[in-house]
Amino acid sequence: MSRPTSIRFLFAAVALLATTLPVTAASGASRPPQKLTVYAVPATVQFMNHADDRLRGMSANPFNLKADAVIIRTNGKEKGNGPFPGDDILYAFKLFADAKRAKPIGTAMFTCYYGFQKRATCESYFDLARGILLASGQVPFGASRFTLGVTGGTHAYLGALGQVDSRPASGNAQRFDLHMTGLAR
Amino acid sequence: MSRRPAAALAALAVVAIAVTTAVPVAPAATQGRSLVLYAKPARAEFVNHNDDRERGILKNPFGSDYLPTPPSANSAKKGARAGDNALFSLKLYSDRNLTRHVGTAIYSCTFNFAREAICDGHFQLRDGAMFAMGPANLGSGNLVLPVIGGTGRYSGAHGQLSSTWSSTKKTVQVIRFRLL
Repeated sequence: MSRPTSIRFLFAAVALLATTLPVTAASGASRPPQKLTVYAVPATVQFMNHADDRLRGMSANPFNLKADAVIIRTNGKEKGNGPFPGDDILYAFKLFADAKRAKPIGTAMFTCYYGFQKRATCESYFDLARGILLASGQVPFGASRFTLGVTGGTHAYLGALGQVDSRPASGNAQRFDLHMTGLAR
Repeated sequence: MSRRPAAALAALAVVAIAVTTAVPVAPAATQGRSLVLYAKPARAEFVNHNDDRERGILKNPFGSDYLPTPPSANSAKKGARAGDNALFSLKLYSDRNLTRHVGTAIYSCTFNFAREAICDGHFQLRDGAMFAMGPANLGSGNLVLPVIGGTGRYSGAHGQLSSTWSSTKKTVQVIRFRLL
């Protein structure tokens, strides 16, 4: 085989293979970034007080902890009302498309697990007509302004990444700006 | 260039392209980047946090701002109330006859309201793991969860999975991964 012939054969083989391979989900082919603003009103809340589990965990645990390091109690009682490490709280929200809350567009759920310094790690999902959007991140107790990372989505939000910015809105509402990137075509 | 080196180079190029564009899933890859697994439940554990729930209603950091949980939100007859946990382990197979065992899965779920839960799914396969998270109605057994990451061969996995009961074997879940 001559050199030009071998090169032509090589390119032909490469071209043939390239045309027969499946397009693998058009990696990198995503829709332009999208922003969706929703207004959330709390619908249901459940706080889980794990005081008994903390107390049990002080005496029976798999670590070699010094009691002083884990004790957050005075006179046999915990100081204040927490939230303490291990507590968790569940929030259900109704979502609206506008600040006047005229048009309901879905629901949201936050499940937050408290760690230290009254900071919670929250896992949330926004259940919208076109799919689920998932976000998680840290939220200090009582904070109304926080940011979560978008970690995924389903259906119209398949492949979603980005972030959720939260700030207070009028009344008892919370505004969430959903910034989405990486959405599949 | 002689005939053999040219042929070898062409073959090498073909292999290189095949390797670099290969679909990164192993068993039962169907089309594009999808993966179908068959899951058979192995174990389950339910953790009833009724005492923590009752204590949380009486003693919480919200004071008078606390929005009480409506009784209807926790009216499930068989438990599964807000804050309870459920753990499920499953054996994963690559074929519908459950002969080729390819890994295990575990779901860790925290119930919220109306018997819905947020579930964290971990799928351990021979060549890596995938992680998914999202809401699930555990009463129906059908769910669609975002896939949010992975390890090994599935490092950076992103997409969604859908899980439904098999039409032929009612105790088997058919899990379809769609990865981007």
